[in-house]
Amino acid sequence: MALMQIAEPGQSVLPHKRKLAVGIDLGTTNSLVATVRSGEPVVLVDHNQESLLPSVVRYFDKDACLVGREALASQDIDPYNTILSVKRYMGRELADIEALGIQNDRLSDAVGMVRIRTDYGEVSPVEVSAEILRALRLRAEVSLGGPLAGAVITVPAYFDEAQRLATRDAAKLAGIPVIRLLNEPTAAAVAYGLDVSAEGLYAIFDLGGGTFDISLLRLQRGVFEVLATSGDSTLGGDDFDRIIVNEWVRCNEFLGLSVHEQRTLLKAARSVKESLSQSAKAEIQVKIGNCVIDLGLDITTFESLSKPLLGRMQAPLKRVMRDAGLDWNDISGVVMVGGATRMPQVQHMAAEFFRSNPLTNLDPDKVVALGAAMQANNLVGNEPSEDWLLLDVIPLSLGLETMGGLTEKIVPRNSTLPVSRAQDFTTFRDGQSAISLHIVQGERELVSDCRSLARFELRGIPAMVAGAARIRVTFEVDTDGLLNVSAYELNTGVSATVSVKPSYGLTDEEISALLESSQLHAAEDKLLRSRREAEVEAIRLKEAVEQAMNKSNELLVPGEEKAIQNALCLLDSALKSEDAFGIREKIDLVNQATYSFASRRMDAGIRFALKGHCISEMENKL
Amino acid sequence: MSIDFTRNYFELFDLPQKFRLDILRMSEVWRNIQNQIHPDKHVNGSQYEKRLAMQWATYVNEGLVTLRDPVSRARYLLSLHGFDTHEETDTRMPADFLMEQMSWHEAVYDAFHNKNINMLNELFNQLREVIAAGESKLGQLIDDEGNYSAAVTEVRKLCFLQSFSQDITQSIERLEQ
Repeated sequence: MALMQIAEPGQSVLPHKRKLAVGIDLGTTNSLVATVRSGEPVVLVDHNQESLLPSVVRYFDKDACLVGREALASQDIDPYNTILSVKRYMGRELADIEALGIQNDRLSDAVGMVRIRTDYGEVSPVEVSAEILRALRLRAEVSLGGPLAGAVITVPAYFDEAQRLATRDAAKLAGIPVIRLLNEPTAAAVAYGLDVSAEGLYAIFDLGGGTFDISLLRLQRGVFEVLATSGDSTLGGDDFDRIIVNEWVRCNEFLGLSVHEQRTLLKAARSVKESLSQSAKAEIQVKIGNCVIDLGLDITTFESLSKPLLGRMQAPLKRVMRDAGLDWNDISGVVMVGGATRMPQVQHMAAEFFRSNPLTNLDPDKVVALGAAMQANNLVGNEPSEDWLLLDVIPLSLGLETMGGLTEKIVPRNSTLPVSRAQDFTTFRDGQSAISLHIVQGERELVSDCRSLARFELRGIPAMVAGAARIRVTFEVDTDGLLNVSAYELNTGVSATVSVKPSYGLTDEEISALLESSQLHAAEDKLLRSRREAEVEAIRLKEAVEQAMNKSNELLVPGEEKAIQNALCLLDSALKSEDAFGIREKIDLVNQATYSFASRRMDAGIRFALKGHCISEMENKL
Repeated sequence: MSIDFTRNYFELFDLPQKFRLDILRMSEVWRNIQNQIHPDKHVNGSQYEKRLAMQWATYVNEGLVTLRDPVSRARYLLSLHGFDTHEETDTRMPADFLMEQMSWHEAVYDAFHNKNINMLNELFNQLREVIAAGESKLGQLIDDEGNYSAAVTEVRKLCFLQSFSQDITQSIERLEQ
């Protein structure tokens, strides 16, 4: 085991020059954490040199649990307290889960998200995921020797806002500073593209334990541009285990299986499924009741059982091609991601659809975490000169409810982020003084078939005849995928705005209650923490400003350099002697001093881009 | 301040103010600009710089979307010449055009109810050709003849056809599921 590093007294408050950044792949079946070391992305291993952490949590008590391989081993011994595939429950209500055909009498409905009953009380899927994330955080901190400055966590591209928010909440609970949620196929494309310096149009075919994503990207001169993404967030490798179990139950006429026995069968099915990726036939012995039974399956039977599942992948595949306006012969390569793509029938299906053999030269289990690590390294500012950029899209359309329960799409799916769209609406009745805005996500025409994200009202509209008011509603989605909606009446200037938090995430109060009860920060001095955060921000800003002055010295106007230097000096002395508040004050001073310089640099950047200079040339300039 | 969000999208991408547009060139310029101003390239910057980067990136994306689609490009170009296409408020269309639309709608309705995906795809491709013809006519009207009022009618027709082609796509998607 790596030893923890301890800094010299007095030095310990100064953050490392190189910020510790990780990429985390929080998977349905397995989770991983990776980082960039000397320019190379690497997956971090535990003390047994294992890189995959099974996403399994076994509870022993309300606050005591075990995560990973040992928990996985106990799934059939202690099925009620051992939780598998929790990712499928994130941001989901009971009705959503039952619609998937998943039967689990240990799930109870709650506002926004199901709860899972253990013998020691109920837990939320967010809490279970937080345990997995905490284990990964500890692994990373031990291996890297300090607290993390930032993490990029991957989510299926087809996750909706509620599922994304639940993932963010889990990270918060686990004490992980999240800088970005990154779509899994996009992360894979980064790892693949940078590994082989690929150029062209690539399809990323990502079949995980519980989700299916398909993304098309253009890789050109260091820019990864997502053209379109589609998928099914309820279809994954787990479903293949279940069809094997169903087949066994049917052939052997198993009746009234206990929960223990069901788990035993699932475990056996998974191992048979994995064997069938290498051989044509697999056999296994299981104990059901008091009998030991030989179970087996051959690849031909498995393939024909898989047909309905493979069939479900067709619609998203066709849709993504249509959305991008592409044909199979436009595609340079198909990259396979996710452990479930090891199944030969999945590879055959992908090969048939794209009419080319899929690329499997990167480990499909690791590629997502590696890509996330590279993006994390970039976003914490470790490699400001790194010559690549990711342009991602929103996976699902965003819209508003209009008369008659219909959706009006405002931001169509596959819009490149950041995006802003506005649309005008009007009133329905004479003298109507308020309108209620209901923000929804999804592709269907009926609001009831879409996800409800938030509701808010615009009040105080002066009396007008129906149809006279002009209400402009603007949707803005930033690079983090966070949605802001504002509405204002054009004639009167009455306005209202809302930051969208899906109506069914955890509330801030719930999160802080959970944080306190988990005693995560009980030992940590809050003041010290906030000072440390201010320091990190100050040093980051200082480095960036100095770098900018070096590179774009000619853009400084007389006297400006001196003013900026003065502000930086003040910041320096604040760093030595002042508290968090004092440091933040000086940060503001630096911000003010560099205000117009920053604008000039941005303009210069655009002028440069217009001249068609290649990226490496520009890098030296800006 | 030197930042000027009022320059038009053609100026932004340094392209001639024409309907016939070099889309590849525009995408190239768009990527180059994003590479300079995208918020991910300014993560270490001041709050102001980050906000500026977000605004610029949004603006540039808006420009790309507006100019990439022929109908919205034409609408935008006409608005620069002082012509408003009024699709939202004025839905009047020439009678022969409407008759044509009705027979299209019937064909799509029949194909959908017979669950005939091939037929829908066929109709979709036919419609694409009609749209492409309309787009080349727009090029002629705007770039060659400067006949903006005729172009307004053409845009309104194309807008109609576009939303109809989306209906077909949705019908296909519903059947595929």
